[in-house]
This record gives sequence, structure tokens and C-alpha cells, in this order.
Amino acid sequence: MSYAPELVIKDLHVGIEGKEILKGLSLEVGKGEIHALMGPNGSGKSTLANTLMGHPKYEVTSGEILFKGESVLEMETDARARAGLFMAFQYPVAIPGVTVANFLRTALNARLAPPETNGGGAMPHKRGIAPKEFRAMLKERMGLLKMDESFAGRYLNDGFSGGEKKRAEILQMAILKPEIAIMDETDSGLDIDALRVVSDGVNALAGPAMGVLVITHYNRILNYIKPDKVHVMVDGRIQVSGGADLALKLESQGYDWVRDGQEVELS
Amino acid sequence: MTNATTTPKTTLRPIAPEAWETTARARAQQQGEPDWALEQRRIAAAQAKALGLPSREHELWRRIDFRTLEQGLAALDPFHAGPAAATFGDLPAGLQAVLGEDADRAGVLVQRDAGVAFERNAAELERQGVIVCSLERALTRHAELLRPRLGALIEPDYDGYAALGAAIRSGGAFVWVPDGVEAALPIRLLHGLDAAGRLAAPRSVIVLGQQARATIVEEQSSAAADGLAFHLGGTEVFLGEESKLVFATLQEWGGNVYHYSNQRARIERGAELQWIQTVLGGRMVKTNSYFDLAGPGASAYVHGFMFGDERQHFHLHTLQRHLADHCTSDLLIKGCLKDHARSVYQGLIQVAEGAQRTDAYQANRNLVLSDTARADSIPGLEILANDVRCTHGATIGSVDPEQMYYLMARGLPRNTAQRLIVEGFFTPVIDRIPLEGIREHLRQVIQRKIG
Repeated sequence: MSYAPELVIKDLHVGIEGKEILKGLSLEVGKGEIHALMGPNGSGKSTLANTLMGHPKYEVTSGEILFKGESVLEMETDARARAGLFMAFQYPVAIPGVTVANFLRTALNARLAPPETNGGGAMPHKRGIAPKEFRAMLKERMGLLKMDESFAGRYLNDGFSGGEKKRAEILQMAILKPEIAIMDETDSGLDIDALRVVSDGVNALAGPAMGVLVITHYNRILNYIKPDKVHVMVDGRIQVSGGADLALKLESQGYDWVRDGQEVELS
Repeated sequence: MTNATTTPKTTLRPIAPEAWETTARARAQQQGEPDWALEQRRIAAAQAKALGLPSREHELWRRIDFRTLEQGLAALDPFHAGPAAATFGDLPAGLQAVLGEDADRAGVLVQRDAGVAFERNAAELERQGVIVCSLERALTRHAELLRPRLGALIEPDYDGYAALGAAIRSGGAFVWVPDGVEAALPIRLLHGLDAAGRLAAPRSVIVLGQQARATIVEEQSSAAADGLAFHLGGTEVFLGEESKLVFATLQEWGGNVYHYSNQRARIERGAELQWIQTVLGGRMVKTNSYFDLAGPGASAYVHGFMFGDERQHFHLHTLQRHLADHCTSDLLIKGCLKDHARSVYQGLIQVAEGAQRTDAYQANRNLVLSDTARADSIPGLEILANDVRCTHGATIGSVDPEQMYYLMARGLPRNTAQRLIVEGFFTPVIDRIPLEGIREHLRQVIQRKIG
């Protein structure tokens, strides 16, 4: 049986305002896999995450991003999300006046009944989730992330603490059930308890139906989320890939040895 | 900003046919209006003639263009009144729909064009001694209550239009809540303009006695029509000591309507006014809302929003006038503009000498959705006391692209994302509106406007 990874990134070059940040990055993530992408500040980790989601600021100059076998480069951000791509934001934006519940129901309905399937006057295939069913689902997923019920009525990310924001990101992932989830420095700014709750949430959701790409600067989150593969990114490229032990080596030796281009044998 | 009430003297531009005033007075006399009220009309007519149309140089008229109305004013009919309805069910379906199922749970007054077509106080309110009736009826039945109040807050020489409105006054409501009474039901005041070519000049007087409480919702709506129509309104609100009033005025005229109204509230010691104003309809809309904090410890909470599209043009002017010590005024006006719409918010906080420990706040937030729309904000402070806290702030911006990206990254199509952001922008004001049916209706109107 041939292996068909869900997300394929081929020789990707990305620039911002004319400056090249990603310089030929290649990576494959399949369903049921957890990949960790590590690298020092400025190596292009967040650029990769946002390029995958289609942030208009980033320009793909060459290379390819295939999701479920199809190029996403011409797709708008919302179409990529509805197709099943998800990014947990490093800095989630506040949307004042819009409650978590209202937002999540709107987002879920967009994912369940995408406009492209019911446009052109055709009958919609699905009418979205019933309010009662949605409330039950929300309550259950919030319990998983140890969130108080009152959270659903708060305005999205508005006045949230750092930990609440990250938890809310995982809640969104739990509701939308993506096929590939990119965690952009989800561990940054979290204390150890929050990190554990967030990691538990990711572990509970990860499974055969979802691939996860954990982008992180530090090793810490990998004590809770066990990666199948670890990639080290320096200067816009993946320099080294390996197993979970690679993360441990980075912790003890830092990134310099990768930067120096030293050849390393990895088990 | 200079004193809002001074009008620079320039060439006089006559405002309206003199015959209007004589006809209006003759009709009022026939209806049994007391002499003092007829005299008010006569004086106002003389003032309208002396003042003429407001100069375009006037500080409060420079930023709105009423020229099309000025040219067509004389051709409007200021006397046409919709037929009286014996029962609520006899009213046009559109007006009935505004109240919906809540119609039986309120004191109701409905004006069509220049006359009140239906009034029905609720039995529960009647038992409490609450009066809800047309101003015309009040002038014959409750003249002693009206006499010290009608025209007491809107100066008859405020400007030419205000004077004209007083001279040809047509319709409006009188609400009276006695001392210590908490009105058991909300009071709903409806005004519809049935067709183009109509001019309505309603004047309403709202009075809350000491420690009285009430909720009043005023709704103005009309279907779009070809040709001009003009709403020239005035509302005077009196809050007795320690009373509390929630007053919401919701404007949803068709795109052919010019709207100019003056709202005044006088808030006595320890009383609280919650004022909500929404501006969604009309072609050119200008409102002046003045809040007089007249007794120690009085407070006014003002929340408003406007949402303009196509070529709508709104000008909201507010004045928070602190006349006594230890008063609070808190104002938030939000504006959202798309297409070629334009808004001007012009706000002033005045603190009189001796109004110590004043706490006044004024904020204007604007969201501009297109390159061709425009919002202007002109805040002002005039402070004559030394122990006060007064702050104001204004922002004008477009939808934050990072907010759009965030929502789209969750699968929301661009227009859905924008709708959610705009709805969220208005939510703090919508949440203040007393009835859920109205809140839901406003959400739908906003959704429709966003498109």
C-alpha cells in the first residue's frame, strides 16, 4: 500500500516584501502522525504556518503545497480551512462583541456546509448543526479542556489570559476537527498547568483521522505531546529530520550544531 | 467648538410658506388647543420667519447637506395624516409588524404622517395612573401638565427648523408616569411616513415623576419611496428626582426621508437616564441630543449607533451638559459606513461652574468598510469647574485585516467574517436595547445592510 501523506510541501520558497524567508522547504505530514518542527527565532517557522493558511502578506515565489493531493496555493484562507486545514494561532486576535459560542457555531456550519457545495442555486447538502446538538457538543469539548461553561458566552479572545487564548484555540480545533492541524508556538506563554491541559487536549484529538504539526521553539511541549518525527529548521530550510530523540539532543546542545552544518547520524 | 446655539447672521433664506402656520393654527384651534399653545405656535412662526433656513456656515449645519430638501420643502404636505384606526388590526400590516407579538404588552401610540392614527394605553398602565396619549389629546385633557413643559427644553429660537417645527407641530406623544410609579409595561411610540411628499413635525413630551420608572421605545420607519419626505421632530424628556428612564429611539426611515430632530432631556437629582439611539435609515439625518444633568448625582448613559450605506449621510450632535455636582455622563456612539455613506459625530461635554466631581466620558468609534465612505469625529470639552474627570476619545478605522484573517482561518467566507466583525462592533449598543424582539430585528437589519 502506498503512503499518501495528507500535506505535502515541496521545495517551498516564500518571501515577504521581497525578502526571502523560506528557501526551499520540503515536508510531508500524514494523517495519524505527529510532527514537531523546531528551530531558533527567525528561522521561518511562523512564516511556514501562515503560508500554509494563506496569509495574504506572504508570497509563494516557487514550490508547491499539496493538501489531500491538490494544490492550495490558489485557495483563499477560508477555503483551505473548510477543506480541513487548521492553524492554532500564536497570537489569537480578539473579536469584541462576538461570543465564543456564536463564532464556533458559525465556523462549524461553514465547515459542514461550505458555500462552494451549495452555491449556484443548488440545494444545500447540509443545513448545519442544530443549536441543541451544538450546545451539547460545545459543553463536552469544553469539559475536555477544563473550561468553565461561562467561557462560551465571553467575547472571542477579548480580555482572555494567555492560557485562555491557547485553550480557546484547541477548543476550536476540537469543534472543527481538521485533518491537518498546525500548532504555531502553542506552548509559548503557557505555565506548566496550562501546557498540560492544552497538550492533553491535542493528544485526545490526535488520532488516525488527524495529522499534527507542532511548531515550537522549545522542547518543553514535546514532554507532553510525543512526536513521531522531529524536524529542525534553520534559515528557511529543514536541515535535519529524525525521531523524538532529536529533540533531546537540541535541548542539550542547542541549535548551533545544526547551523554549523555538521553531519549527524540519527537513529 | 463655539456655542452651539449662536447662529451667524447671514442673508436670510425664507424657510416655508407663511400659509402653513396660519392653517396649522386654525386647525389646532378647531381641535380645542388652549390659547397658550396657539400663542406658542404664533411666536414660533414669527421666529421661523426671522431666523430663516440655517446658514450653511453654521457650525452645526456645515457638515450636512439639506439643499435638496430646502428646494423641495414648500411642495411638501405638512397636514396629511393617515386615517385613524379603530383597532390595532386596522393599521397597515407594516406598522403592525413593527410591534409584532409585543403589541398587547405595551402602551401604544401610532402616528402616520402628520397625525396620530391610533392610541391605546394598556389597562395595567392606566390603573397605575400612567398617561400615554397623543400630544393633541394631552393639550385638551392635561393642559396643566403640559404648559410648563412643552417648549421648555427646546428653545423656540434654537434654529429656523426648530421654530418651524413648533409652529406647524403635528402629532407626537405625551407620556406621564406619576411619582413613585414603576410603569408595569413598556411604552411603544411608532411613527410611519406613508408616502413621499409628506412632512411630519411631531413634538413629544415625556415626564417621569419622582422615583418613577419607565421604558419607552420610539420607532420610526417607512418603506422606501420616490420623492422627498421630511421628519422634523422634537422630544422633551423630564426626569424627576431619583427616577429612572430607559428611552430608545430607533430610526429606520426609507432612503427618501430627510430627518432633523432635537431631543432634550433634563435629569434631576439622583435620576438616571439610559438613552439608546440607532440610526439606520433616511437620506440625510441630523439629530441634536442634549442631556442636562440638572441636579446633584444625576446620571446619563448614552449609547448610539449609526450604520450608513449607499449615499446616506448622518450627522449626530450630542451635548452632555453638567449643571450640578456629582453627576455622571457616559456616552458611546458607534458608526459603521459602507458604499458612499458619510457620518459626522460632533460631541461636546460642558461642565458648568460649580459642577464639581463631574464624571463625564465621551467616545466615538467608527468602522469604515469602503474607500468611498467617510466618518468624521469632532469631540469637544468646555470645563468651568476644577474638580472633574472628563475624558473623550474617537477612533476611525477599517476592518482589521488580522481579524479577517483569523476568522477566515476558521473557514468563514469573507462576507460572513465581515458581518461577524460588524455585528460584534454594534453588540455593546444592541445589548442595551430593552426588548429582545427589537434586538433580533436590528441584527437582521445590520445583516441585510452588510449584504
